[in-house]
Amino acid sequence: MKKTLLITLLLGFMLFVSGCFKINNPPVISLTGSVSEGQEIAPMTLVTFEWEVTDFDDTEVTSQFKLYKDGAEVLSVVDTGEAVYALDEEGKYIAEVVATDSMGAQSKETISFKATNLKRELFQSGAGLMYFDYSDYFQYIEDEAFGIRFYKTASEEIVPAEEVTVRKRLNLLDTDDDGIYDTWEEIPNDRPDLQTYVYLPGYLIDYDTLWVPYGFEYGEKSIRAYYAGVEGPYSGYVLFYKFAEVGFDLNTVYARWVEAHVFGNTFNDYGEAYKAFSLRERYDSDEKPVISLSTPDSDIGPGDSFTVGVMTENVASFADLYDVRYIQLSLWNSEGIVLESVEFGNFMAGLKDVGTFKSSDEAVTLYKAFLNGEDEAEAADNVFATLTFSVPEDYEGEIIAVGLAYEGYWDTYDIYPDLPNPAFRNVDNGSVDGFIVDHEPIVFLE
Amino acid sequence: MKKILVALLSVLFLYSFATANVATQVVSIETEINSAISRMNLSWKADLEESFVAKLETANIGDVEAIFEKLNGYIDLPDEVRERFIEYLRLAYIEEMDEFSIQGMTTTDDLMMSTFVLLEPRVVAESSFVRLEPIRDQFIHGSCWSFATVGSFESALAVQSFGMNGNVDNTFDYSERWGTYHNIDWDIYSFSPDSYVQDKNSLEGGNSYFAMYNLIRYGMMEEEYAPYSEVYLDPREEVPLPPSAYNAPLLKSSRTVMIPPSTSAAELGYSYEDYLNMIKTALSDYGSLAVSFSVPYSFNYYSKGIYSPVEGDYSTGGHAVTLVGWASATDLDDIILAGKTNPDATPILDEEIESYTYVDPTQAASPIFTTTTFWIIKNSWAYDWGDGGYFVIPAISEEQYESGQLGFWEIEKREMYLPIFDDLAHHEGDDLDVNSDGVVDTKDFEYLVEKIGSTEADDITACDISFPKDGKINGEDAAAWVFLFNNR
Repeated sequence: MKKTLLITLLLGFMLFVSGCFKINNPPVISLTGSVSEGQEIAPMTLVTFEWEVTDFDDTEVTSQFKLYKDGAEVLSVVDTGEAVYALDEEGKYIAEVVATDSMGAQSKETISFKATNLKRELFQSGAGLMYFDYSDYFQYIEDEAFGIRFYKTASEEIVPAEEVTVRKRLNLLDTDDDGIYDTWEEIPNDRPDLQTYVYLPGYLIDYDTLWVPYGFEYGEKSIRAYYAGVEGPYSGYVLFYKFAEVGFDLNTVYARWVEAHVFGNTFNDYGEAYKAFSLRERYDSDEKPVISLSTPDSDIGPGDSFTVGVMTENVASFADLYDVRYIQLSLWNSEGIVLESVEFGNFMAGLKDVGTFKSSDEAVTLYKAFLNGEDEAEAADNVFATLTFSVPEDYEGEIIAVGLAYEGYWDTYDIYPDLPNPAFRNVDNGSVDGFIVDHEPIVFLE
Repeated sequence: MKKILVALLSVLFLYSFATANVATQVVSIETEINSAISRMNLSWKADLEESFVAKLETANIGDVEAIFEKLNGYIDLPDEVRERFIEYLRLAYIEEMDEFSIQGMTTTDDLMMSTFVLLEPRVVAESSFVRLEPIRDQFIHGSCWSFATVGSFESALAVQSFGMNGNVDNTFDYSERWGTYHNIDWDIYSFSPDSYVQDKNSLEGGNSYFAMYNLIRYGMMEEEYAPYSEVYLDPREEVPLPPSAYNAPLLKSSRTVMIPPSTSAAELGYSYEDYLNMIKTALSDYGSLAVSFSVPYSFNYYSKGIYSPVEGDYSTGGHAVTLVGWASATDLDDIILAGKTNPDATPILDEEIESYTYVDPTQAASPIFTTTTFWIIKNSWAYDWGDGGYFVIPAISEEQYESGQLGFWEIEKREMYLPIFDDLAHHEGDDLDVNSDGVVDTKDFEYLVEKIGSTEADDITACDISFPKDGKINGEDAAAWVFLFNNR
């Protein structure tokens, strides 16, 4: 009897203990999507996700799906098992499913991916920062002066909440009367009579050579006409004639109309008067990641010291999108001026910035590492580095100049303490493309 | 019915006439070249295979010279670009003008230049090294530069990432078509005062300088996603990509080894032995190289032996090819190149030689050179051209290296390129504690930068951690340190 009681008590105790210490397994999540871990896709892509949650303890489970863009939530759904998102912006995305069972056990699965315009531009071969507008008919223009005018596409709210695409007429203006057009003027759509032509010579005789129109080069900050030498000592050469110092926004479609005559007919008779074009890049004109030098406020001469900032515009966000972890920039300086100091600030948010430099008499190389670790307390800003130079009293040079380095040949590297060309490396130590380094030097004349 | 028959017969007659015309031209030219070879006592033969000649006719060009000019589609970087840069300096510092800009050139070319690295030459003892990788066929397009670039990419990937003997088994087949989709717009590059580099979908002339950079910034897709077979017979210069390309995985290289032209290498302080060893080190340790040369007229008709130009030769255009090995003079009678397609193939030379002496009629005063080393190079004109698709040329002699006397046809006259695939496995022996204080922290990064430029052996041992090693301490090592720190 005692034995039976003892066994019963023992069994009861074991049952009690097993109940107290029951192991509750977290749910198991199977998350799949139209994008995979680490994938890079183009914006304007419809991404889909599916997930299944299995709970081996057979408890009730809730699952929450969230999609984050650059850390901010852009989509959240509960218990649907699938999600669809029309992804239209560049950025770093994380799709996350968190499953929780009724006993509180939780598990999480994620897919990290990114959307970049580089991926889009990979399939746009034939376009870029420059458009060359060529026609076989240009060289046969018979007019003393021929006209060209431009149009652009724009979006307009004709009816409230209805955006439609419209064609805008443009005029080129020379606001400072220096002979170079410098400003665009948009003409109201109901006043086409206000649109004017820019008139260009139908031919040029210069340098003892006859030059005829050959083409136009459209850039972001300039419009140039090309003339080809056809008779004379410079026959076969090309002459550039810059007539505007404004240009065309990236990723916007423009058109031009040429008013001229060839073979006794108008350009339009040959279907050559009207042509659409666009400049394309992975970023818009106002989003370009540009590194440049800040210019000191006053003139500099012997005995002065001056500060040059290596300024960045849109660089940190672009670098973050492409996972940049290392930047190296070199600056050259006039021989004789002295580098006094270099200061680095907090440039990249979310990572530990380490800046250092190496200098020689005529150059300095700046190094920035972005390391996994605690970010600096101060807010990130757009100053990559600040350099202070001094000009000795007995400085004899004709100019005082500092510039961001570019060297196209191996044998011109020797004035630099290190490899002079700018380097941008990602988390895999691969080179990253797309940064724009403005090599225009700061020059003070003696 | 009669009219149709007459028309058909006329077409057939014209076709057979054109066919005979190309073949006849080839035979006639080969006779002249072989006669010159004999007079000059050279060791090669002009004798194109019939199957290769038959393909030339597909180009739909009657003049055989014009066909080869089309195939030789390597475009040299224009002199104007270099002159323009000098002009920029003149304007900036002499004329003090402010109405100019080089942003277009520099924004791209500066980034390109920073992706090129030098290689530390090691003493390579092997007298010969041959890596017979698959021969591709560019067919009627001037896309040689893409074939040379992709051939080097496949080889480098096999050697560096998988420890294989290059791509000899054709394990990797990447898309030359994708390479040509990102050719550059040569009109804009050449005519624009700013030398903008922008893409153009073009199967015609190009340059590995840009194609190698595209391997880094865009990556390369496998052949199946954008097969060259889709454009093989298409005479158009611009052919759209197939839809399969749009979601293709892209594999990127990290950087590019650039072996400078021999004259630049000499200026940079490399000895003749260093220069040859740099090329051999790249070949044996990292993969085959994309190289280029200006093509002498007679080269197009090469079938076997040691190629060098004949009297009256002139350039028919630039050509890019893949350097796959080297051979000493004494080994030339042991190396068979055409074995893959011809079981009866014979060695490069029938008899052993100690050295080779030849006249270079393309240079002033037709100098005579003697060499003991030869390059083995794969072309992209299919297996039925040359010696099983390959050809052999003399390597630069020490006398030439010292004097800078190179013919336009020599590959040492131009840069050579090789993709680099960096990964953690290549840094297994590298220690991040470069200052040896027992802690890996930011002080090591600062210490490494401080040591940049040092020539002390201990410093180099501790701080030369980049892949590939170059025997120097520079920004490459600083970047490698950051890479390793963040991925430890």
